[in-house]
Amino acid sequence: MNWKLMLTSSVRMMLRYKLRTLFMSIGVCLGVATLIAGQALGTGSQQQLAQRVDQMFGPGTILIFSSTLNAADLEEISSQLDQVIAWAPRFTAGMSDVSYQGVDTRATVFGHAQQADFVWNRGVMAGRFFNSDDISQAARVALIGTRLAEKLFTGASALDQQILIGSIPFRIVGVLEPVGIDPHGEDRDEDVFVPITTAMRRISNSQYIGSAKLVVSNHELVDQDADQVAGILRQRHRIAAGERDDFAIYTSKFAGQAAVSAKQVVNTYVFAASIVVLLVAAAVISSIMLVVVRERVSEIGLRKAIGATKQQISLQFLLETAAVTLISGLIGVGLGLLVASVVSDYLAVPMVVGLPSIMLGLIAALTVGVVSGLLPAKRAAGLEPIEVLR
Amino acid sequence: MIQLHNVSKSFVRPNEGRLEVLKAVDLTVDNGEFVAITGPSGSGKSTLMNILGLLDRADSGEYKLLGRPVSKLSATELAKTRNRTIGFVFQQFHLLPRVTATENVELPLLYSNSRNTTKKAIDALCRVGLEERLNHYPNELSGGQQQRVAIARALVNSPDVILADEPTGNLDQESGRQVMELFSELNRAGSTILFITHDQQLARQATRWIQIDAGLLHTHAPAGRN
Repeated sequence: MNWKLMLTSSVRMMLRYKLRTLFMSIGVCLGVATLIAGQALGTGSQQQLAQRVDQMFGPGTILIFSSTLNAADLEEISSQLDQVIAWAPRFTAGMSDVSYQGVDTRATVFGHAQQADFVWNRGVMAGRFFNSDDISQAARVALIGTRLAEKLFTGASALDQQILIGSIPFRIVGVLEPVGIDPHGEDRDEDVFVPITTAMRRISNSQYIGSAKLVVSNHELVDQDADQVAGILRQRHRIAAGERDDFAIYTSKFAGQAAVSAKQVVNTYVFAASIVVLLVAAAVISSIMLVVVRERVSEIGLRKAIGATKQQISLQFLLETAAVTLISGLIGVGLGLLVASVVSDYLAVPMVVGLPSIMLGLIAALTVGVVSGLLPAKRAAGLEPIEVLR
Repeated sequence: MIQLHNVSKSFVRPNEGRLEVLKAVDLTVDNGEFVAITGPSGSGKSTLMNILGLLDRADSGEYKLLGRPVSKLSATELAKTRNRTIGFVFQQFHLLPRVTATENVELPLLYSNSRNTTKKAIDALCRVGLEERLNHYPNELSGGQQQRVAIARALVNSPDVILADEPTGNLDQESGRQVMELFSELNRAGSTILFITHDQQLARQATRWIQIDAGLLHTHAPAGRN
């Protein structure tokens, strides 16, 4: 048999019945595009989320949230647990008006201690971080995120400028390194940091810290360490056995797993959706091809009369559907990448394209072609020339 | 080339019962013959052609093609034999629409291990006088031209015999005459040709005229052409 001629004649057939080919391709294009785009954005957002969780937590960290947490609790924990190598409290003063020379906006104000640049992973890119004097004197100095700096100063240097937080004047001593959007979707580059003492005394008048972060020496043991922290807090807060905690503890391990598994659910849905689209496409192609076989009975009869075997007739129809779906698959891959890159730009989610997912898309397209071509091909091969050549 | 011995074929039709279409027919066709087959409708002409063309099997009797009994050939072997040994021409032409004349003629080569298929197809179209119409589509050709494309397709694999089932049945008189002229020419160049016709005038142009009636063959008259 002449393979080259067989293939070129399949492609010719496809090009000559343009509308039919279009209808056959749409489903496969969309299915594969969904698969590719979903995979690219899914993997991208999963990695991004993992990065953000890492950024927020860092490896081997424990986050404590409690409305009754105070500095003495934290000092007790760090003195009892040798594996705690660093810790830093954080006071959330909440949303506040922030203004500079008539430019008004709102931002979340946090109180931080001097070691927060390491513990909370928020260094400065310009100026300096808080020092011990800032903390002990409850100084009116502030650090601002890059986006907030842009809003207030539109390109001019923010350093040493005077801003108002609420009605209190603060001097800007540094600009925070950009960290982007946190797992909750909030832009952490719009934050304002002030010394924790300033936040607690001058802004909110509170004696409780609210939250803190501990860094432990061994990331693998972070869950056990968290249990010990919980034990100390229960004791200090005088919580009787059976009573509920008045605090919440999250470890970097737990957060990473929770975030990734949440994304996994979304990715699985996208994958399932693309499979459904491909199955529908297969059904559509199959029924179109059955009509095509009926339309072309005399062609099939003729081909058999001039020497085509059953297998060659089957092969011809399988090749025709497979050629359509494979090319649709290629277009689908392109379309998927295009959609992924547009969405990626628009939602600021990175896309990660792997060769395996492209191969998977093409194999899926080819499988759709072969599976949907089987029944029509069988029907075509079974036709007898003397019954259809009239 | 073709030897039929005692070949019978019958069909079972609902309400009509068993219908014997060919009754113990004997027929020998030698290399280079030009045979016309005539007969009234339902006389078994087409059934005879189908059996000769390996599109249908006889119920009993023996058919030897090129000295080989065909009754033992599998479906695949029958297809391959049709491809190499037989060229078909049909009343309805049966050209593929949306495919050029050259590609139509190329079709039988798709199922054999041929090389230079396009050149062979063009050569065959030149033999039937369509060198000017190589890239025309069937709907751009007259009936006579379409039938000549079909004849080129029958020729392209250099078959041992050409079987034509009412090749002029769908053509006007002039085109029909041209097609018959082409057959005569091909026959003079060595092709063995069998054709069915209703037209006694055309049948006279053959070197042998066989009449079929109620499933039996009669030789009509000796050669009318020379």
